Amino acid sequence: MDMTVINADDELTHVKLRGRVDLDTIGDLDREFTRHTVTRRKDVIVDLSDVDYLASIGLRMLITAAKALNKFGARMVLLNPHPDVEDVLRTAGFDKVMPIEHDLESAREVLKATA
Amino acid sequence: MPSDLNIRLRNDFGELAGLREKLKKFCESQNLPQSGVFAVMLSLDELVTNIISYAWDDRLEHSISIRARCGDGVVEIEVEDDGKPFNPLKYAPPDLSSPIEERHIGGLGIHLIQTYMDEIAYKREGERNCLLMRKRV
Repeated sequence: MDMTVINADDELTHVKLRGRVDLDTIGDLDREFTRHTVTRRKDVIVDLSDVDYLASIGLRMLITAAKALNKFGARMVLLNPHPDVEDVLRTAGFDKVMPIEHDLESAREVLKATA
Repeated sequence: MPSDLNIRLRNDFGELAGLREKLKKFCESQNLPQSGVFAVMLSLDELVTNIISYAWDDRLEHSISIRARCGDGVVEIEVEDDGKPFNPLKYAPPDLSSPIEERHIGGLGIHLIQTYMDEIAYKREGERNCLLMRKRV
């Protein structure tokens, strides 16, 4: 599991996660993820296209960060999850509180529309 | 191919990787479709994580027994532990319609199991929790 910061500017943080998000990987990832997203207090795009497995511990990481960002008036959008991962996100009802988009342009549009 | 898988795990998160590996091989040997494999892997992962996290208050070693069977288009998984009584069916699903500031962090793992499995049965036998999960594939 690893995380890359694709872009971090005045408006937006764009990160990409890779591999499995489960109990084995969550410790380091959670720290890095929070440091690069919540701490900046900007809207966040989380690219999930290379995540092949998401367990509930990963759901917790995402909702905890999204809740913290929400307090600062910032939102989180999830980008391009694998169908299995998207199914987990929808089963957990996350699509209601963090939009799931399938291309970067739509993700940016959603954030602009709700700014 | 044998259609039974028997695994005994210690209550240690380090056991999960080996469990996933064995379960994956089992699913492959039974030619399960990918959607079924994902559901079974996720549900067992969540259940065992939950057991290791909450079943025991002591710091002693305990074991968790897992048996998986496959046949007639159904995967059946039995999980047994000697932890405190825990019936996942008694837990109400988290409120998935509330706004983000009211979302709770917990309860999602159990909710995933209840959604991904077609059938779940719990019984307390003596000092043991026995959970049976079935998934049509």
